[in-house]
Amino acid sequence: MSTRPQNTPSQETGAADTPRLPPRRRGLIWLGTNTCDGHIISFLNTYRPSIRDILEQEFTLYYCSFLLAAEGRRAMALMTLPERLREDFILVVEGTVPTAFGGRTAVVGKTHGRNLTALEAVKWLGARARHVVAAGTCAAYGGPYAAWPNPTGSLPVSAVLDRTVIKVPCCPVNPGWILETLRRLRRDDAVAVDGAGRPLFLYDATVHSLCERLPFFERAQFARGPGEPGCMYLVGCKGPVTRADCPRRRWNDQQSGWPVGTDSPCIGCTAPEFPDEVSPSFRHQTDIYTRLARVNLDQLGIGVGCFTLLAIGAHLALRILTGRIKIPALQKLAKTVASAVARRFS
Amino acid sequence: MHKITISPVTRANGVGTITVMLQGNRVVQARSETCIFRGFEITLKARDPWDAPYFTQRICGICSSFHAPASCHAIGAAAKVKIPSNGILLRNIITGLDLLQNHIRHFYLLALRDWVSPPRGYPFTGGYTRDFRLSEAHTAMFHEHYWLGVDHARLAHEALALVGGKAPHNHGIIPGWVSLLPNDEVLRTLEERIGRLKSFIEEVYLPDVLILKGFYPDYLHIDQTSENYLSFGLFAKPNGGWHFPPGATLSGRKEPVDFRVIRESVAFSWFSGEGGEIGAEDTVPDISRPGAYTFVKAPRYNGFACEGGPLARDRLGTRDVKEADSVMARHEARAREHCTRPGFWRTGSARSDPESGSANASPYPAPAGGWASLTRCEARSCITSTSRAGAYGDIRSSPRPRGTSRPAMTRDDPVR
Repeated sequence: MSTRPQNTPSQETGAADTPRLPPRRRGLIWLGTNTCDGHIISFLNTYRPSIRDILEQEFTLYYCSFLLAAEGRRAMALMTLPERLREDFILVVEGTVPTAFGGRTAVVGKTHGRNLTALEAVKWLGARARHVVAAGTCAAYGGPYAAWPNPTGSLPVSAVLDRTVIKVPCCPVNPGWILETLRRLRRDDAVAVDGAGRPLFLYDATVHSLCERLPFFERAQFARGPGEPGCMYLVGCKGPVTRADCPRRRWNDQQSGWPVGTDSPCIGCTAPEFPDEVSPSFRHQTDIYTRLARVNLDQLGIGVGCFTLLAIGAHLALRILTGRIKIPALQKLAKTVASAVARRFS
Repeated sequence: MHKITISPVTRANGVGTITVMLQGNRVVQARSETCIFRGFEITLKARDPWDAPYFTQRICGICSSFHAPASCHAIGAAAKVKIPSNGILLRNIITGLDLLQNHIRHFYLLALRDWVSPPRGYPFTGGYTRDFRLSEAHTAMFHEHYWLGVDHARLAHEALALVGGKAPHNHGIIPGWVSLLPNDEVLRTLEERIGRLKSFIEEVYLPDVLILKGFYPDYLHIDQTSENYLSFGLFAKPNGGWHFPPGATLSGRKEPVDFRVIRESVAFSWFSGEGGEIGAEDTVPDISRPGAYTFVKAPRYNGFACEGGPLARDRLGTRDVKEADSVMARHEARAREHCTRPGFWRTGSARSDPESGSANASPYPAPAGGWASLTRCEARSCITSTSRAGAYGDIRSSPRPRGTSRPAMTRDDPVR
């Protein structure tokens, strides 16, 4: 078992991915801010090629708090090493950048006896990196860690940096997406992005349009709860509004499942609106999050309906009272009520 | 007085800071600072309860699966939903595979760099340089095994994703059940992957831990605690009971778990709480609290700090006295955990569990009270619960509709 495992670098990647420049490892700094570390775990789950080949052949990973052997001051020194070596590096940020409580809700380490907050680290590294990649929905758009009511005042990376940030959202990011983006940036290829800053070659199509269950949708064969075969549209699938190639690329392994493949709806985790504007995950209609409360669309409809009925009723009552509408019996009743009220409060 | 600060403490979920005050050679004060706060307690409020299992998983990308059944238990208890036996088995599969992923990653990725001299090159440069006792041949072997560990942790996630859809942050565990009713193909692949994991653990992982134990025998005496263990039970059996039973020990004395004595101490945390404790109250961050230095709460059982995890489960499940707890005993318990209960691997292959019968043939029964009952615990909004009971509740109460006028599914899947 001491030999290399079954995952040698494979030939699966297309001709477009073969390096045109002489092979050169590029510096990489993987900075976790306020994060669940799910993105680095997901990146470690890459299987073609394996993470070992990536780290040995394609990138020099200077800093990644999850993989580093160094601790303390030595780790902090590695974070600034590419800058000191005057070497180009790609900065990958996973997690949001919190601003509440003086940024103390995400500290990446201590330097000179004081806390280095994620905000300071992202600004410092972001100003010096050749490319900045926001891995995951939190770093790209805020995601679950900036969800309503955003107790930590979290911001996406692009909100604190005055430069182009390539956004590779998902929760967690699919290893294939981040790897392909990094490979293009390593060669300094231009990465075309869509309106939300996502690479077009990954986020061009919606999950719905690539979904293996699209025929069920076209024949109106809908699942009526999670755990059923059929289209998950009525269960709350956000596939039609979510751009990703999950159905084609799948997760963890070509043989493994993906969310809809395991009879659960897509929750729209690559969408800039995730999670507030694409939740509840299991309902077709999403809720609206206001400053005061979460509003359900059904509630909103009933509220508006009640208000309209009340307004029409009040208008009618006033009209009868002022005699603009002449129904003698009702007028008499209204006058009796009005005089009773007047007597009560006189 | 001498002060040692290590910051960041790497190879952990979220970096931390350890500050130790020394007087001579004696530690007089130690602080574990973790400046990470997300506020899930606040964010989860007023959300749809069905979102809770997906949302809480996002607390941690390493142990994501375990947060889902926890919130499902809470929702199920509020709505009085009984989980079908298949659901229990499939949840065990998902969490069991994530547990193995955690164990393998913990040893190879997170712990090994402190014992074995790391290889040259980034990101392994700049680590500790002292007290590496392994021979060159062993070091080279461990370097290879490091990558094997990475691959097999990934394999555990790949097996998990067969049932859970993706990992981390799986979609499979939802309130009341598990979304997928696996067919034969899925179970066959699952069994094959679990078999590979099992042989890796028995042939590589456990021997590696024992080799380290041989080279570092003094670590059997480092970090001994006061035998306070706590477990809420792991891997429920479909007919009641647990593969790893719940229990608590305070100073070695065993007792059943009493949930009423669990409190969260915030005496040194940036949270407001009367008397330095939080029970059922809201979590309110309070950065101005005097004396506080961390964003992590300290859970206390009857006022004591208790140890959880593989060693605690091992000590609570068996009565035989083994060596005291220590750094190395914890690593060994983690590696041995899969062999301590014979039923553990059976939870990984649902079909062969004699207690459950055939997993892939029996449909999910509707939960008692119907799916509508799940929505009643939501945010005290009566309008929602009534409207939803009409719109969704009656549909979800029959997950596998029969005799409807709906055209038959054309998917050639004999199980469905």
